Amino acid sequence: MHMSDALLSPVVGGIFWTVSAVTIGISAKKITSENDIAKTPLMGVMGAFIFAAQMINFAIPGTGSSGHIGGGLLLTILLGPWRAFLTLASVLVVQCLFFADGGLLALGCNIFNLAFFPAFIAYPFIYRPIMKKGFSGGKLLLATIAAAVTSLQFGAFSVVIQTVLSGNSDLPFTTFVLFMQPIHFVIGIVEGVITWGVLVFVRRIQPSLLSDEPTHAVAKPLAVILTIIALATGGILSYAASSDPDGLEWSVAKATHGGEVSSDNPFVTALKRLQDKTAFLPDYAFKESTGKEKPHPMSALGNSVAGISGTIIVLLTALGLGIVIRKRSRQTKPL
Amino acid sequence: MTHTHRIDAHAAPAPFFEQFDHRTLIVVWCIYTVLLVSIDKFDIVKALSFAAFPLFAVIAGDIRITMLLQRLVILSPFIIIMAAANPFLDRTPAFSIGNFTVSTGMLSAAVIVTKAFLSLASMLILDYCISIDGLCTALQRLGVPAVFTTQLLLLHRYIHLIINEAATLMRARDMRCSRKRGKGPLDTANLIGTLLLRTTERSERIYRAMLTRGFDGTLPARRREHFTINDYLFLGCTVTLFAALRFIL
Repeated sequence: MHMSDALLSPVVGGIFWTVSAVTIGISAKKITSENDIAKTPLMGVMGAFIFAAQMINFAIPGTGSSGHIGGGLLLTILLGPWRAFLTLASVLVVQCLFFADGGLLALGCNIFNLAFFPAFIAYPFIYRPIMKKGFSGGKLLLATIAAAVTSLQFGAFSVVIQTVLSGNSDLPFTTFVLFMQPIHFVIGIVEGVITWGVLVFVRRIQPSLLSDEPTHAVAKPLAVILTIIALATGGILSYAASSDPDGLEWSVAKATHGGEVSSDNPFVTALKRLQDKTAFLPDYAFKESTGKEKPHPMSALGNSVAGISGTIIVLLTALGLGIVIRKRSRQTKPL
Repeated sequence: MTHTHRIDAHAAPAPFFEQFDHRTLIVVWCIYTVLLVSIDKFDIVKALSFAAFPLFAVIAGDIRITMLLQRLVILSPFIIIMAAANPFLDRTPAFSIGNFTVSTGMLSAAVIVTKAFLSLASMLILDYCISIDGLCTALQRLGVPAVFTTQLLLLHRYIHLIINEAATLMRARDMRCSRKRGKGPLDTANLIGTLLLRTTERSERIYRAMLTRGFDGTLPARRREHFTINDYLFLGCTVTLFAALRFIL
């Protein structure tokens, strides 16, 4: 799933370089503050372990082909998110500079796609909540499969977004998504099963290795990283927002022979009127005073403001939703 | 065994490039990549003109071209699929050669493949031009945290040891297995688990050895470098060349 320079635009590549560099900086700061030098050589050899583990092929049942483990989730479970992210990033730097796997500009995208999601999304939000209330083989299998599938789905979707935003490939968004997501769903299941197999084996032979599974709190710094990413994506990329229709709009335009879907249904008309009144940034730009006249002179700025505002609204909504859910789950008494 | 090509061969960079500070090389390669990537999706002429730099670097660095070509042949299937789709999706005629009409989709596919080849070639050449010590020193001076450069040094130092360990395990498995029996995902998970246990055991030995040598959390990179007039000349000439290729040609 390595991204290539040839498919990227400098803007997209630059943004993901920045995001990955900031995350590396935060991870390094976090690790330095822990001052646990015993884990430094462990990180080094575990990086080498991931390299070596990727060489070990296994037969995929019923297909006649073979595959190998990615190792991002396994590394995160063993080292914790911060150390795992830094270790995976170092593996990708060595792969890029000494094995020409993925390009120099694509390095930021590759670190983001392959290291960020297992370390900061799949592990804290999927794996840990499932494993929180004690160990069992079934729970571990569920946790590893769900986490591996999640990280690979996010990673694959990120590749699609980066490629489509760069605009070098003519492959439509929908086709690309339908091509990438199902195959990475299957890969995710296999990755999850193998990760489970490795953890069960290690637990049987040397349980002490997993007894001190890291429990680092990632929520606060993670919120900072996610906010930066969200604002960068919403704000900066919207400057380059295309006036061409997206995949869905394109399909709708084809289906309706060029126009937007219209309806004479009074309920739909009423809803449209309500939307017109409440939307303060219609079509991701400043509202024009007289409707159809000349374009607003601040439309480019409007796009960016709209992007950032939209992002903030989404973040606040998610925050509110999270608070509500937390309060509800606290009120719900355990059986 | 795709990752075993000359991992232990980064002790000394290619002769011509040895004289430069690694920061210069990193900056030059970054500028080259960004300008190459920024070429318009239909501008095949400009994309091809960027082959000038890899060509110069191969000759100046006395790099064996056969080794380079062997790696270049294996272009990522992902790139090939992405490029191959363009001629079918974009059939707008661009120009004709005799009776044959070249579409803009064909042009954009050619540009993707050219960029991929050049980007891969430049990375393979950079691989011959830098040493791991020089790279880590340069990265540290460019502001990369010491924790990360130490991680890179340790990773690079132990890659071939762990890879050999994995190769031994795989050879043993292959000799015991008939066809695909014993090579399924769960058997492989046990094999990876064994490798993991051996790796952690090794890391403990390494840590004890490092402590006896006064390890304090970071490894100093051994290479000492500083900018010379040659660095400024190389940087100036290459950036002028890239800018001319990108904006004037």
